[in-house]
Amino acid sequence: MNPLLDQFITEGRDILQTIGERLLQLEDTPDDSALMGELFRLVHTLKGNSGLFDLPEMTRVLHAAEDLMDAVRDGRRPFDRPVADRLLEAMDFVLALIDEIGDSAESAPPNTARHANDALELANALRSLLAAAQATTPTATETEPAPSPTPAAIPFESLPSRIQQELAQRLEAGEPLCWLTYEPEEECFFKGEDPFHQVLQLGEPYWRRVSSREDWAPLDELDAYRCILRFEAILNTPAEALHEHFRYIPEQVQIVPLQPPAPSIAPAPSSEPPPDAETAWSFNVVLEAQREILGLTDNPPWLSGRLRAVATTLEAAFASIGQAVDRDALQQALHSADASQSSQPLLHWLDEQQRLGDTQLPAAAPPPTTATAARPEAPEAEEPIKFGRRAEDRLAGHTLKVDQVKIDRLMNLIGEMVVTKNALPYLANRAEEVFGTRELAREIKAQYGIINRIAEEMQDAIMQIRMMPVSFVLQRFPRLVRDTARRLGKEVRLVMEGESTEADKNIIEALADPLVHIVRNSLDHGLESPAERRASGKPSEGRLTISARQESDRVVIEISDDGRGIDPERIRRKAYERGLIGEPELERLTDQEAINLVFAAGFSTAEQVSDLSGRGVGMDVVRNAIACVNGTVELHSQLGQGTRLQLSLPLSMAVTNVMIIESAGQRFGVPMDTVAETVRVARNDIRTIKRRLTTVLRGRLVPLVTLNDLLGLTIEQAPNGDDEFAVLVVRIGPDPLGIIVDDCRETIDIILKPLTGILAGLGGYAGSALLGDGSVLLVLNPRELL
Amino acid sequence: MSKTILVVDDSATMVMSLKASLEIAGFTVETAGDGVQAISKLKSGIKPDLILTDINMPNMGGIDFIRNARALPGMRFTPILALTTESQQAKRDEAKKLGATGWLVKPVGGADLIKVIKQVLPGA
Repeated sequence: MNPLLDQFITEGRDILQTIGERLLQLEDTPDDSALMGELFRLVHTLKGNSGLFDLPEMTRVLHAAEDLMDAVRDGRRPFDRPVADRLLEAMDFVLALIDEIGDSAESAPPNTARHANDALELANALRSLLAAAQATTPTATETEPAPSPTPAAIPFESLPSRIQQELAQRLEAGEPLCWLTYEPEEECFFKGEDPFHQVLQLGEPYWRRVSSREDWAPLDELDAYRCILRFEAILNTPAEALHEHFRYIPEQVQIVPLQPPAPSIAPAPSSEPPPDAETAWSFNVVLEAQREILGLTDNPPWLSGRLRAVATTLEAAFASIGQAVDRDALQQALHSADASQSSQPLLHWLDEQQRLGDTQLPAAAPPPTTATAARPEAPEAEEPIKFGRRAEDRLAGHTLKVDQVKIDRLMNLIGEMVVTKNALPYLANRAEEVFGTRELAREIKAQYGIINRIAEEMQDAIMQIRMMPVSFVLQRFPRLVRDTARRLGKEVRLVMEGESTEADKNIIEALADPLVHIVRNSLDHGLESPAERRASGKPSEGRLTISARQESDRVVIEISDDGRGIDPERIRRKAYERGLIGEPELERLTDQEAINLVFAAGFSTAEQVSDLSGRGVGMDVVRNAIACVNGTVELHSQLGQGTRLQLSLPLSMAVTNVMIIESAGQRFGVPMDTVAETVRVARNDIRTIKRRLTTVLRGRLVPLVTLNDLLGLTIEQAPNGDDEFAVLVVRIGPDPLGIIVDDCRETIDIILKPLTGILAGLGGYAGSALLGDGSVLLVLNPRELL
Repeated sequence: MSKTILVVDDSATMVMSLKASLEIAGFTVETAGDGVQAISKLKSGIKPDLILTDINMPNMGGIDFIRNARALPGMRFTPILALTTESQQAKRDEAKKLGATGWLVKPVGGADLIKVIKQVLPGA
C-alpha cells in the first residue's frame, strides 16, 4: 500500500475516534464552543484529506457533515440528539469505508462507488437537518450549498419541433437515449470544477442547450465567479455511464432514461413518481368539480374565461398524475367550446382523456432512479442505518506501534534468561560441595546477585511495554451504553473511573468481551425503565459505574449499577425449575450463594430473551473468560439497590509466582494468587464431619481434602515428625478450603508455559515451568482440581 | 541551492502529500503541525523561501500564524500561501489582509501547486 494512503487511514481512524468521543462529550455540554470548534476542525481536516484521493463518497458525506457542523458552530442550528445521531452515523459510514480501503491491498484506494447511494442518503439526511435550521433562521450565509435541483418534468415542449419529432422516431426505433439536466453549484468554480469541460467530455450529444438559471445581472453587478448555468442534453449514453461520469456531483444532475412515447401522444415521460392513493383521490375530486362547473347552466351564458380556467385546471390535474395530455386537442376543444358557447366539446375531451388514462395508468413508468432520493424522514425517526461494522469494533489495535511478535520474542528471551540465571545458585552449591572451593562459590553467588537484579529490571521494563491502560477497552463503552440504552428506552449515565490503570496487554484484551457482556446485562436486566425507577423513588436516570484500580499485583475492575438488583428468591426458584439445584439446596442456600447461581451454565433470569444480552449464557461465559487469565469474579447485589460485579485480574500473565509443594515424593507448583495461607494441622485436630475431613481454623470450620486424593493417588499424605500435616488453604469462591500436602517449600517466580502436545488436554494443571536445576515443575490449577 | 518551503498543517496526511509533491519538484521541505510549532521553527533560525499554511489548526490557527509570522524579523516579504477550502471566503479575505500572498484551494494537486509556487517564488 502506498505510504500516503497508509498515513491517511491511520490518521483517519484517529480522527474518527476523537470525533466520536467529542460528540459524546458535546451531548453533555452542548454549549462548549471550544469543543464544537475542535469537532468542526476534525471533520474539516478529514474531509480535506479525503479529497487527496479518489473517494467521492467519503468526501460527500464528510462535506455534508462539515456544513452541518459549521451551522451548529455558528449557532444556526442547535446541537441536539438528531444532529449527534446523524453525525455518528456518518462517521460510522466513513469508518466502514476506511476499513474497506485499509483491507484492500492495492496501492490505490478501491472504488467505493457501490456505496454511492448510502453516501447520498447520509449526505441528504445531514443536509435535511441543515435545511430545517434554515427554515427557522432565514439568515443563511453564502457558504450554504446550493439546493439540489428538484426533479421537474422534462420540458419537451421547449424543444424545437424538429427535434421533438426526430426524438420520437429515434425512441421508437429503440435508441437508448437519456435526458440530462446539469445545474452546477453556484460556487463550483471555487471547487476546481469545470462544468463546460464536464459536459464536453460527454462526447457529441444528440441535442444540447445551455441556458442560465436566472436572469443575468447588469454587467457592472455581474459576479463572474458564480455559476448560474443550466446544461440540458439528450445523449446516446447509458444512464449508468452518465451516473458514473457525474459521480462526484450526483445532486447537481438529473438523468432520465427516455422511454418510447405512447402512440399519438407527445413524448412526455414524466419523472414524477406514479400517483399514490392520495393524489388519485384529489385528482378525481378535481375532475368531478370541473364536470360540475361545465354542467352549470346559467345566465349570462358561458364565459370564455371560465372555460379557459377549466381547461387549464384539467391540464394541470392530468399532469399531476403523470398522464400526458394532448395539448392541441385540448386547445381545439376549448376553441370549439368557446365558439359554440357550450361545454360539450370540453366534456367530450375530458371523457376521451379519462378513457385513455384508464388504459395508460397501470403501465405508468416506474419512478426513475435519479437523484430523487431525498429522505423526508423525520429527524426523530429511530431507524438506524447499518453499515456492517460499528465504530467501536475497529478502534482497537492502533496504539501499539511495535509489532507484537517482536515484544513476545523479547518476553520469551527474558523468560529463558530468568530460568538460566536460576542455574547459578545450583552451580555455586556444586562448587562448594563437590569441588570444595568456597571462594569460587561466593563469587558465583555475587555474580548471580548482579545478573538477577539486571534480569529483574529487564523483565520489568519489557513488562512495561506490554502494559496498556484500561481505557483501551473502556473507550468503547460511552458509545455502547448510549446506543444500547437508547434502544432499550432507558436513561443511563455512565461514569468511568481510573481509566488510566494499567495492566498487561493480554489481560486487557481478555477483559474486552466479558465487560461488554456485563455492561449489556446491567443495561438490559439491571437498570429499570425510567417509569419504573420513578415509581420506586429513584431518579429516572440510571447510573452505571465502571471503575478500575490497582490493588497490590492485581487490577480490580468494578461494574456497578443502581438498578433493581438481583432477587435471591427468584434465583432460587429459577434454579430449581431448571434443575440446577435440588429441593434440599433450595432451603439451604444463603442469599449470596443463590446470587452466585447466575454464574451457573445455562442460567437465565430474564423472562424475555432479549437480543442484547442473549440467553443467559452471559455470566457463565464471563466467569470462564476471566478465570482463563487467572481472574476472579465476585457478584454482590442488594435487592432494589443495585448490583456490583468485581473482576480481579493479575496485572500481568507473563510471570507467575508459585509456591512449591511436595506430595508423594514429587514437587508441584501452586499459583500464589490462589493460596490464602499455609498452616500445620495436627492429626488430632482433623475430624470427620458428614464424611468429610474438616478442621477448625481460628474458630472457623474449614473442609479439607488431600492432594493425593485429588490427583487420584492411593498414597497417604505424609505428616512431619510432630505428626502435623501441611495444609495449603486456598480461596476459591467465598469460603476457604484446605488442601493437605506433604510439605510446603519456597515460592519462586516462573514463566508458566501451557501444556502442549499429548498433555494439552490434561485437566487440573495450569501448565509447566522450567526450574533452575533444569527439572520441570508441573503447576497445579486448584480451580480445575476442585 | 534548493529553495526551502515551510509547510504548516495539522493533518499529517496533508503534510505528507504536500511534502512529497514539493520534494519531487526539488524543494527542501520543513514541516510544522500548527502555528505554534511553525513560529518556533521560524524563531529557531529556519528561514523558508515560502510558507504554505493551513487555516484551521489547533493551538494556533493559520490566521494568527500569518499575523505572528509577519511580525518576525526578516519575514515581512516571505511569500505565504494559505491553504483553504471553498467554504472559507471570509477567512481568505482575512488572511489576505494580514499579509498572505495568496491562497490555494485544497486538495492541491502536484502540478497546480508547483505552478502557483513558481509564480510567487521568483527563480524557483
